[in-house]
Amino acid sequence: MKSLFVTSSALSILNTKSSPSYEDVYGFLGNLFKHTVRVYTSAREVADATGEILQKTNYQKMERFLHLVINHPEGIKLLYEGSDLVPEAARLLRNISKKQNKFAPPSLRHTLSVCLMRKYGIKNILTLDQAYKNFDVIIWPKDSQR
Amino acid sequence: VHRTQIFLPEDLHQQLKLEAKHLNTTISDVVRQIIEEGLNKKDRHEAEQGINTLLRMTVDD
Repeated sequence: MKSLFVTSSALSILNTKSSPSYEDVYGFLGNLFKHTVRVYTSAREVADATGEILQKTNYQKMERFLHLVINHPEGIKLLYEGSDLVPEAARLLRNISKKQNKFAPPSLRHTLSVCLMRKYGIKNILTLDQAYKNFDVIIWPKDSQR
Repeated sequence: VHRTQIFLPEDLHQQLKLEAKHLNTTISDVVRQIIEEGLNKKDRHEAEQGINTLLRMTVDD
């Protein structure tokens, strides 16, 4: 694994220790130190995470999260979904929706992130969102690690 | 292989010349090696920073 895309669900869980999946995500990240893995997320994932963190915790925690993301650009690389990605994400959503899916149905927010990952050649995703199982991405932590 | 021209200050050029002589190789080889090591180090550093930033989110206020 060379690169990892982090979604809002993982970002918000890291900010809420009481979450049942917290230990899984934390443990997975601890193991990444052995490898050289670049961490990416998107402006929209950060925006979604702020909402989730605010809902689960408080304003101070949300501010702290934003501070860490914004003031450490050498850490988490922030990617931006350009308007050119929207038609591609809509097409992907239509294609996926036509299939019989056993997983949670995805929305445009999922396909936008998947298209962004494809654009940057990122295959691994850190998420707790089951809808990403609809796509050809490698989801972490694995179900067996939970 | 790409050919790139760079301008070096005199003292840095002298250092490279000495290093190449010491390693019994060319200045080009020394420069390639240093660039590769530098980029790998930067990659490792940035990767660690990314994971560190995520883990720092978990610290209680």
